[in-house]
Amino acid sequence: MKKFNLKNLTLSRFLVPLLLLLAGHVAQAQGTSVRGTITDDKGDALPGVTVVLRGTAQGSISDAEGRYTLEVPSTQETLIFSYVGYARQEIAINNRSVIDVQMLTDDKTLNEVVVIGYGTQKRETVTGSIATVKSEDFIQGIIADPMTLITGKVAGLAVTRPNGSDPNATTDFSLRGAVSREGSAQPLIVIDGVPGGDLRTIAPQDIESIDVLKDGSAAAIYGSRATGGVVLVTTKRGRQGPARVAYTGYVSTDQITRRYDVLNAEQYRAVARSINREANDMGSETDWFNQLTRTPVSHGHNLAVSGGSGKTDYYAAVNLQNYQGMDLVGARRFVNGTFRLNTKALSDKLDFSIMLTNSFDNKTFADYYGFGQALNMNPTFPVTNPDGTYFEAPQIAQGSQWNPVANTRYNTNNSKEKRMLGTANLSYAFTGDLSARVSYSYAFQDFLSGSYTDNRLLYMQQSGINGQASRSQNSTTNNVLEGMLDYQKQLGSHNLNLLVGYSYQNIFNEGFGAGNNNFNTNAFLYYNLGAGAALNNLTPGFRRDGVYVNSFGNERTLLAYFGRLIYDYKEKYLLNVSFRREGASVLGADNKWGNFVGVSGGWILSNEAFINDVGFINNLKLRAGYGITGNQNSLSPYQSLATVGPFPWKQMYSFYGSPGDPNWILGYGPTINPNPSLTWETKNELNLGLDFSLFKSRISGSLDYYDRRINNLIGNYTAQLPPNIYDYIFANAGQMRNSGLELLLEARIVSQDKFRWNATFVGAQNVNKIVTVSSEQFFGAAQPITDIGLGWGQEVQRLAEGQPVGVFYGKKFAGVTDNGNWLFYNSEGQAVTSDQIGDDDYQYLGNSIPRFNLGLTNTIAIGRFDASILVRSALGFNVLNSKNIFHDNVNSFGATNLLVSAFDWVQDPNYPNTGRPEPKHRGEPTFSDYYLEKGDYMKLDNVTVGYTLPFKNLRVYATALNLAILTNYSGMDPELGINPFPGAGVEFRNYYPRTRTFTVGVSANF
Amino acid sequence: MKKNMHTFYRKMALALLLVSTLGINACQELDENVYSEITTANFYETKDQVMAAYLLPYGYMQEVVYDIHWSLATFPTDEAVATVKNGQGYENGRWIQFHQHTWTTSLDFILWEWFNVMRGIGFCNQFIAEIESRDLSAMDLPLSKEQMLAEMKLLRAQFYYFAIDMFGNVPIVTTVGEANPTTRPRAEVFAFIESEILANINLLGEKGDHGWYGHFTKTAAHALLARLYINAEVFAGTPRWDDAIASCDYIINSGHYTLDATWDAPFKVRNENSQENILVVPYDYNYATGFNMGMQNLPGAMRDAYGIPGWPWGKTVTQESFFRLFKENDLRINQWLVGPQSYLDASGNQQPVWGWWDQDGEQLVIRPQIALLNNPNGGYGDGVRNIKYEIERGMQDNMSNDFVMYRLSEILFLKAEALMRKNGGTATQEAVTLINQVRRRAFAPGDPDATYTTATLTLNELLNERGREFAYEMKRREDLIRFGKFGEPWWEKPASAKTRELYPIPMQIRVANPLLEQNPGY
Repeated sequence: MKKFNLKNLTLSRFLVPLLLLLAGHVAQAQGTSVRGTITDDKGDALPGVTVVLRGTAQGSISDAEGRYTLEVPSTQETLIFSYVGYARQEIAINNRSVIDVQMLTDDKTLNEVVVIGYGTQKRETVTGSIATVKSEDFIQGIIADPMTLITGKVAGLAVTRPNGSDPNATTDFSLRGAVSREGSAQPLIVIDGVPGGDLRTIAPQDIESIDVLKDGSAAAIYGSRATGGVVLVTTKRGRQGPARVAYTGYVSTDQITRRYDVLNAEQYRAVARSINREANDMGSETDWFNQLTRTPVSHGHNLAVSGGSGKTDYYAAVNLQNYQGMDLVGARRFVNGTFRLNTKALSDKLDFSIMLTNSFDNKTFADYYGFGQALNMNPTFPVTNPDGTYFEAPQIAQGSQWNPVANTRYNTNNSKEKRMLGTANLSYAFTGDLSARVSYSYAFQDFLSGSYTDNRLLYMQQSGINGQASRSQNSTTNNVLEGMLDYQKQLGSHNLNLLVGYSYQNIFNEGFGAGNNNFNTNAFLYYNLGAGAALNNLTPGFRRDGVYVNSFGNERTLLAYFGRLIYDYKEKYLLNVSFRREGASVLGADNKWGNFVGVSGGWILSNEAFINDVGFINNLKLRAGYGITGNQNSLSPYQSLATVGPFPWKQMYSFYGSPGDPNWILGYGPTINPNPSLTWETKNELNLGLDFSLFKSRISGSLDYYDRRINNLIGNYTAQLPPNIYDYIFANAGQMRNSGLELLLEARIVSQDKFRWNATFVGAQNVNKIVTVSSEQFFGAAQPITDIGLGWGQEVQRLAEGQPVGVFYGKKFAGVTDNGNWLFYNSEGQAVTSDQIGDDDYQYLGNSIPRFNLGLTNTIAIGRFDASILVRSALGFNVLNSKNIFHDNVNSFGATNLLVSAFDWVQDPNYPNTGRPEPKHRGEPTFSDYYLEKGDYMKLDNVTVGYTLPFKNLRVYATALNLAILTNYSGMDPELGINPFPGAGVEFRNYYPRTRTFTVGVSANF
Repeated sequence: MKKNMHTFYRKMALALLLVSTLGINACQELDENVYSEITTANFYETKDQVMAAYLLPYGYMQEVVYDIHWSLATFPTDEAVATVKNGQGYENGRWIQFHQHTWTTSLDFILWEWFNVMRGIGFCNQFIAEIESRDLSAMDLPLSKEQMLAEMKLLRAQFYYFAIDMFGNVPIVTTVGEANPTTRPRAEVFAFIESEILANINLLGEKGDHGWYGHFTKTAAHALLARLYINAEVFAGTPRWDDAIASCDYIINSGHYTLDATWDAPFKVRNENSQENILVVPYDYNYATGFNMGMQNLPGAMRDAYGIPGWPWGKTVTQESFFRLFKENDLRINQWLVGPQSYLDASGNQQPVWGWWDQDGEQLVIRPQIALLNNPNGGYGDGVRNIKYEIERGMQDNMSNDFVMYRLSEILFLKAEALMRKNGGTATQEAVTLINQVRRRAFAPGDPDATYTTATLTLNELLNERGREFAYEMKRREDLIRFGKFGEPWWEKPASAKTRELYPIPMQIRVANPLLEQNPGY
């Protein structure tokens, strides 16, 4: 086992330690031992630091006093000191027997370790585009969706909250622009190495760091599902030393940011009078929106115990979050328990770890329709009758004036969700160079939903349904088995890491549901379906609408083989090659397998002599990568198979028999448009990058350019009908291109003992374009998307050749006629009435997804105070406030209330208090660019101020989320959906109000 | 050293073995296992499965005819209009567009019609493709495979009839999934429908066979043929009067049908007992839902009068000029709700129906005059309401009356019309006799108005009489087009272009298949 021995070490001082590290195995000598004390940056003993002999599995861990001892074969070896939250250090022994080490907190120094998927790598040698956010940089305060933690922190990853602070809503995110026409191609979530996880399985407080593999060359190792990027979540693990107890807790509340200004009672009467309509004046003055909101109080607690001794460490935590929505009923109670254990055996060659995390969510859903309805309600209606029952007026406006408070109170929608993730990892080091790892994980999700509509709700009485209950269960079992071999070798100046592996994943989804009507008491809710009278009541004329049973099962399987080579020469020239061959069951019989390759290289210029002399450059690296990833995740199973069943949209029986001898038979026919040619959607991506660190690392950052082309776009396309049977077909069609620039800039502006100020800027520009939308499987010219409630065939956006995804498409506003009707431009540029507008007159009206996303985080510490301020901005997009379309229309008056802004209020003695309302138009509700607005905004998104108390380890803080906004948008908040489904840049009619959130919290360590 | 290398390779081999064993164990075919689905390859294996497949396209007709097809065949005519009353029922201006012939290529109801009709064609195509190649001889089916296939081809021809009537120039597709069909001229579609009927008519069953009701029999196929031929000049440019007469004669001479004694018998809740109906779409409040004409037409205030648990929508009213076609002595005038409304309560006492909105606090009065098409503040009682399809006491949203597609009366009318057209537009005695057979039952015995003469039965009068006899039966649009009156101005409707006689190919459909040509004028 003779190794190279580097003798000629005549390089600059800067490179000496580095090259010593590279020397790796030196000729074996007599065993000896090294010991020392490890301290933190304040000089206090640091227990739990891992000390490993480079290139081997041999290691030790510092004890409670920070001391360590390690047997080493030679004093020419190198030791690696690592500890979560601190910069990794590699120190050559250099014939010493005592090495004391001071660990420095990790301010993203070069030695940062990056999680790259199936392994880790030093930041310095990474060649792909990978962003890392550590827990200390996470957004603080109340976090309902863990993706919120890194909002505005990763260049190119846009995270928005289209449903505001609804505790049951998730964020909308996209990496480097829309990644799929379906928009459902979210990044692959990998939790502690387990692909395909669900972020809601874990408590946000248990997350240690989040790494995002952005470009194709980095993500290709995950092949399938990696088109949306890969988000690698690393949870906290125990540290050596005595048990530590950490507690964090907060309490939080919300405040409405902006509300819709609809006609109040007096204005409502004025409008009715001016357009000669019945006001149906009931004499009240009701602010319906206020009636649907409350001041919520949410609180959360996390208690973690961790520690370790000898060869074992552990981390256990319980987490409780109690979220309350600012609507009347929305709530979520989240309980999570996590345990993980790492241990070594067989002379430290066997590394064993288990992780078990279990979360329970009890969700009560908000009534978005209630908020939509509040905009419809006549403001002169009271909420309740004198006897305390809810006021209803079914005779008015064809029943459209249903009471939203009654609807919210009398409808219960609940979901109890369990998510479990168990992982066992076994790795064995055969030699110092070769190790094998097997990991098995079992993820289980079980959702039990219930809904009940109270029999006191007017509609229940009118229809004779008289209380409607249903229950459904939906379970998903996810088995992942992966095995791999890892070989690390150093041959002189050549460093080599070779990985081969195998991955198997099977997901089984099953469930059932049932419903019943006609309950003579509301006491049961959905807990006693059998008590409803409708199930067995076959009296003619008896309403049985909600009586049903169903069940289902489906399955999908992925199989993959993969390999990766990471190579560098003298840590100057870097190469990373990965390959994955993957098969997916959901694809067509002949197209199940795909190959995904990633190649990237880097050149560390700062390790070259000619740069090394340039004083202000600490680090300079050029990167280039090209990678292919795939997507099949937006496909449901069985879309390639011709399946048969009852008509899917209705229990439709057919008559067979003679008059007086009826026989009703449930017919069977095709249930979908099958597409046997379904194949992989693939993304080919080029990434060019530059990493730099200047002026003693006071300024560092990276710049990336990418060009990604997504081919064979998978989507649920409007089918050609004929020859198909249903309106939609899953197909591969067309190509989409995203290109852009990303900049990360970090500055340590002030670094003094009592005053530190760091600023981090992330900026991303994205240009999205659909190159084509047709293929052998789909032949359309475009695909209409986004129905805002105007009905089918009146979609407001489309996917069309040469346009950005989700471009607005519709009529071009030209003015109104003298009697207030719409005028639109036809293709010849003439202003004509709407019935003169044909297909050729529709126009593209602008993109709906921001072209620029910017985030600036300032972190300041002064003495015991710390502060963090995040300003976030999105620029270059149009938004549609679809509420305007429905609530600026006098024709709808009575069925809906209208916006004050729908009128000009002209001074008129007949309308002394309000002015005479002059409608701005009288045309039918229809979409045109009249309703489009610029969506640009800048937000003061997160402000946190903390204070660490004089007695150690106790910090209190206050946080405000979504504090202030700068925008010209007329609606609530232009931070809307950023994916084409259900509609980018569109504020829908039914919605959840936006809030600013205030939180105070405490964290303590014992 | 050598030993070291050996150990190394042994360990390497062991590790590889471990990993690959895992792989093989877990390795399985990527073929999909189905659980709550069944593929076509495993279906059509038993009698019940084949019957379920044969019946689905028939059941789908429930989804098609009411209310989308009915609406497209009715609202652009002078017989019905969905007015805005007290500002209610504007529905994005859809009904005003239908009334005034100002619809555009993105009107949702037109898109739904296209989807419905083309999906119906697809269901038939699918059944034919799956069954044609299978040997069903061992299954003991209640009807032969040949008859099933013939019925599906007739049902498909019926869907194509809807398509040629509404959209005119449409693709002719007989297989599922063959992409990029192109538009065929209307005459070619006509020829296709005709040839399909003629090629399969002799394989069909007949009224009285087991399972005949609601299915295509020989006589039902002739009724479809007669309709096709009477409109041949419109559809294909060449009149086919003799062929229309031949098909009518086939039905008349078959002896399977007689006129019901009363004009309203074909529309009763239990109209399966009608001796006049040739083809119906069976509906049932429970099994086969979707026929809710009562809810569409009745004012909400009438709910107590009929003991209706729901709240009728009161959408559809009838234009005054059309109502005025009916004389007081014509029993068929009873299909209209008009005047002050009252009802008998449970104890047999006369009770007034109390009005709503602008008639709030008063007895509901339904007036033939309609003040405004879009009435912001009134009009609750404007426009008579049709109750031709019997409204059962305690009616649900969904009615159990079967929807009449073809009935003997229409056959008599079609033959009479063909005879008159052949005769230069003048009635022959035979034509007069045919029409009088039907008209007579709508009058008291001996009423001189009960019969026409060759002098009084002009083509224009025939159109009016068709209006009286077939009101709300999806015939008026076809009639107005055939009689050249569809583009004429009427109440709240200016004259419209001839191109409005066809609906446009919906925008969304042409986006998905750019090879489809738009109809002229859109």
